[in-house]
Amino acid sequence: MSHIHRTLLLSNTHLIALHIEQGQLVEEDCFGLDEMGKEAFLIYLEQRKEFVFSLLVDVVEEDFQLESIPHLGKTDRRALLMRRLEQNYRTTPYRRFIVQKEGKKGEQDQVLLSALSPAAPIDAVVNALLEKKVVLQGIYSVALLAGEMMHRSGLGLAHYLLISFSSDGGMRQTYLSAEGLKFSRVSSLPEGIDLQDAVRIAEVIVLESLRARQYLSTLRMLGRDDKVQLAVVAPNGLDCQAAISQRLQASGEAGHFTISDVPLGLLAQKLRLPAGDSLLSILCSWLLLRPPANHYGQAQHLIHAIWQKWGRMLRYGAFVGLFFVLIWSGLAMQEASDVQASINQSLKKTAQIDERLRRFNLLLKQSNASDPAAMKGVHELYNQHLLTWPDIELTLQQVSQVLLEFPELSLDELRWHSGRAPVEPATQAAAEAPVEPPAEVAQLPVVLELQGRVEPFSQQYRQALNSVNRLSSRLSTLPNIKVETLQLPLNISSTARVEGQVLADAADDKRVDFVLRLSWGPKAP
Amino acid sequence: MKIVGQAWQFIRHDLILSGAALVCALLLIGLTQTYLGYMQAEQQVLRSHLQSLTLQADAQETAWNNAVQYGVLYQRLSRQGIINAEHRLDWIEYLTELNREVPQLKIAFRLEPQRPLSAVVENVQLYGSKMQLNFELKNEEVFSDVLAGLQHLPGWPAPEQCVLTRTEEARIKVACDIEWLSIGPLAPSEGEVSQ
Repeated sequence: MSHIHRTLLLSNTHLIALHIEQGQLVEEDCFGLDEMGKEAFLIYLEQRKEFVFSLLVDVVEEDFQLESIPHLGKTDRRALLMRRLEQNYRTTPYRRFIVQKEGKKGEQDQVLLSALSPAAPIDAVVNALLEKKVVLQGIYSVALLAGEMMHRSGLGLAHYLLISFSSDGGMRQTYLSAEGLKFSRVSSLPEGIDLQDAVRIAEVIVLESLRARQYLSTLRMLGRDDKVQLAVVAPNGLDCQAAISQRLQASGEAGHFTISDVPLGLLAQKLRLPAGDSLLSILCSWLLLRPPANHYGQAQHLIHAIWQKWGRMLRYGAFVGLFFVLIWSGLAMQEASDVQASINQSLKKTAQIDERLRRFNLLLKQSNASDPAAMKGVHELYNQHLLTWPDIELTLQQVSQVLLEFPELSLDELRWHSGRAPVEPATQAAAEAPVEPPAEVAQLPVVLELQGRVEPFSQQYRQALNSVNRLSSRLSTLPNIKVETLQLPLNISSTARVEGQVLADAADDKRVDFVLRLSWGPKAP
Repeated sequence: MKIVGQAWQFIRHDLILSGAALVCALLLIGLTQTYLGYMQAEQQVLRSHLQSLTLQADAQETAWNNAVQYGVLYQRLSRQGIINAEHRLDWIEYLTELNREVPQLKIAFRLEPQRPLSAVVENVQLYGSKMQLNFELKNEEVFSDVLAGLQHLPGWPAPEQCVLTRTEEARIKVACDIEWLSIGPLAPSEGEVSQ
C-alpha cells in the first residue's frame, strides 16, 4: 500500500505543508503558529489521515555543541551522552547526539550534541499529528539535513562554510568538515533586502562569513591562516560569486577564503531530485523522495510510523514466506511428478511381470505339473541315494570271474555289505551335527569277505599259500579295490606261534584256509 | 488496549494481507503435502505389489524350469512305483508265488514298518522299509534271478547286506537285508498330529 508524503516545514514564524507535484515542490498550505493556525492545521490533517508526514524544522534556536569525551564502550557512551543531553537541554525532548569521530582506546571521541528549542511549537505540531493519528516518519533539522545532503551529493566539498537562505528571511551559515557539522547559525537579513540584488547579498554574505570565521578561530576550529571554502547556495539561481570576490578583496580578507558557487541545478541533478529554487526546496524534495534517518523524533512521537513499519515488515515477511512456500511447493510438485513417472514405470513393469506370471501359470497348468518342487526333490534324491547304491550283482560277477581261474580254491561263505546305513531322523537328531542340511546316507566302502578252503590241501602248505596269494594278487588288479588277507592256510610270520597238525581233508568240513576282505570305495553319484 | 487499538489502525491492512498470505501458504503446503503423500503412498503400495508379483513370477518360472528339467524322470519313477506309497502287496505276492513255483528256494521274509529317513530335498523325503529275505539256492545264477525279479517289482530294492553260505548239502543259503527305498512327501515331525 503506497502512502502520500507531505513535508511540514516549521520555521520561527509559520508552518508550511509542501508536496511535489509534477516534479516541482509546491506549497500546499501555510499555517500560523497561533491558535487559528493550529485549528486550520487540525482541519488540514483531518483530510489527510492516510498521509505520511516529515517535519523539517528551520529555527534560529537550534543549538550545536561539539564535545570531546573519553572513549567508552557503546552502552556506557550512550548513557554518558544521554546524561549530557539531559543536563544541557533539559527543556526540550528534541535533542540528539552523534559521534563524529571515534577515538581509539585511551583517546577521545568527538561528539556533536544538538537540540531544537523551544519545544512548544514543535510539540504543537507533533501533538496535532498524534491527535489525528497521522504518521510522522521523522523530525529533521535543516542544518543537519543540508550537511548530510551536501555530503551525499558528491560535489567534492569537504571543509567548507555553507551559506544558504531560509524561508523566513534568514541566512544560515553551516560549517562542515569530513566528520560532519561543526557549527551552524542563522542570522537575519537586513530589512527590505532584495534577494535578487547580487551586490547587496554578497555584502551580507561576506560580512557574516567574516564573523563566522572569527568565531571559528576563537573556538580553535580554524587556524588564523587557514582558508575557508565558501559554498554559497544563492536563492533563485542568483550568481553572486563575482560580487563576493570583489567584496572580499575590498575587505582585505580574500586570502582567507576560496569561493565555490553551488548551482542548485547541479545539486539537484547530482541527487537525482527535481530542480528547486532554493536549498530548502531541494531539502524538501529529498525528504519526500528519499527520507533519511530521523534526527530529533523520539519513539513516542514516531509511534505511528513505528507501527506502520512493523506492519510493512510483517507484510513483506509474509510475502517472502509465501514466496518460499511457492518455491517449496514447486519443488514438491516436481517430486510428485517424479513419483508419478515412477508409478507409471512401475505400472508398466507390473503389466509385464503379470504377463510373465500368467504365461508360466498357463504352462504349468498345461503340463499338469502338480508339484515342480517335489519333482526337483525327487530328482536330487534319486541321483544322490538311489543311483549311487552299490550293485551286489556286479560285485559278485567280478569276483566270480576271477575265482574261475582258481579251481583249487572253493568258497564256503561270502559276506557282502553295501556300506550304506540309511540314517533315520531320530538317529540324526541324537548326533551332534546340525540338522540342516540333511545328512546323506552314510557311505562306507563296499565290503566283500570271502571265506574258503584249498582243495585238495594234503598239507601242501607252500602250494596252498601260493594259491591264496595268487588269488589275492589277481583280485587286486580289479579297479578301485583294496584286498586284505585276514587269514592264510598257515601263518608264517616270525612273530606267530605255529603248530603242525595232521588233518584228513575229507573229515575237516569246518576247516577255514583263508579269509580275504575286499573293499571298494564309495560309488560316485 | 489503547496502544493495541492504535496499532490495529496502522497495521490492519498489513495484518489482513499477511494473514491472507499465511492462509494461502498453509493451504498450499497442505495441498502439496497431501498430494505428495498420496502419490508416495501409491508408489509404496505399487512397489510392494510389484515386489510380490516378481517373487510369484520367479517362483512360477523356477517351478516351470523344474517341471521341464525333472518332469520326465519324475514320471518314470512314478511309473516304477518309487514315488509315494510303496507296493508291499506286489512284493509279497511275488515272493509267495516264487516260493510256490520253486519250493526248493525255501523263501522266508520279514518286512519292517516303513520309516522316514533323514534325506530331505525340497518338499520330499526318502523312506525305507527293511526286508529280511532268506532263501536257499543250488547255484549263484538263481541268486541273480531272484534279485532281478525283485528289481522288476514297483519300488527300489537296495540290498544293504547279504551273506551267502555253503551248506553241507552243497546248497547255498542266502540271508539278505534289503532296503525298499521310496520317495514321498515330508513326514510329519514328532508331536505333529497326523490328519
